[in-house]
Amino acid sequence: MNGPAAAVDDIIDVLSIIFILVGALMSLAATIGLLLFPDLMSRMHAATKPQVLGLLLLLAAVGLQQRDWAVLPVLLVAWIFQLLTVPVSAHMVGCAGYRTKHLRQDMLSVDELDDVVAAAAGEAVRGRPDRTHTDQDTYETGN
Amino acid sequence: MLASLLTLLAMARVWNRAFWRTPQDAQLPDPVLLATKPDGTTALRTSKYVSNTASGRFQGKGTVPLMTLVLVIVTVILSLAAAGAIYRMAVGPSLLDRVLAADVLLAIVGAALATDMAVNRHLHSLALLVALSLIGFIGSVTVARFVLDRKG
Repeated sequence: MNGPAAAVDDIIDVLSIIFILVGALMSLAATIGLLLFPDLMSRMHAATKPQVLGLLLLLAAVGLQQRDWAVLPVLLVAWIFQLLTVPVSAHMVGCAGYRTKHLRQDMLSVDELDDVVAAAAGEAVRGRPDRTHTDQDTYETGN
Repeated sequence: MLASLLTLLAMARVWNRAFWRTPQDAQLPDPVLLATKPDGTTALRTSKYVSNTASGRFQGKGTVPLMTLVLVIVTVILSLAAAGAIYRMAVGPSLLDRVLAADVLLAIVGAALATDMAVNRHLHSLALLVALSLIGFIGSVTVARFVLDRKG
């Protein structure tokens, strides 16, 4: 086990071990945030962000251990779809959380949606006076 | 439910590989820790920083194969993470918290699958991982879409 090839092998091994450990720690970080943060929005922040980086690191470790370019497209597909789908689910959960008031107003520094919702509510009341205004209308227009 | 069962399966598999092999198996060459060289012979897959003499399991002092050590550490980390996510799923004050915890648990399952593939150098669960990242969000999106306007 001498020579430059073995040295490169060792470097790749150490690199992939570091990637695996940091990737696993990202999962742990997400869980810690999930347990410690006080409301839905901050929990969502902790739950969605570290996982993508963790998955990237773990997939990189898989690629490094395989040492095969043919694996790379599949790993990229897995990661890109994770990158595309995680924000979608987070957005839907966030919308539902805002709509059902699962957030603590005192913890928000800026509520950008509040103005939009208020404006839409005023418009809805002015524009269609014959129609009974409900909360559901307001939130759907606001979103 | 499915996610937690999958987690248990993955964890059981990793623990099985790491600890619960019988002593007879430990004396045999371990397919996990052996890499087949191009000329057909096998060699212990250890780094030069760790002794090359260990045959698969803890043998003597300070001769733990590096990859086994990594596997044990990652197993502990991911088990803790999965336990935390399951706890949040059990106590989560609202339905959306539980959905979020289920998402995290699914990601932990994905991490366990990827770790298994990286450490044991196979690609058996790659299709499962791709499918997981493709359709894993459908559940939480569905629940979030139909969540009702009430606490709980």
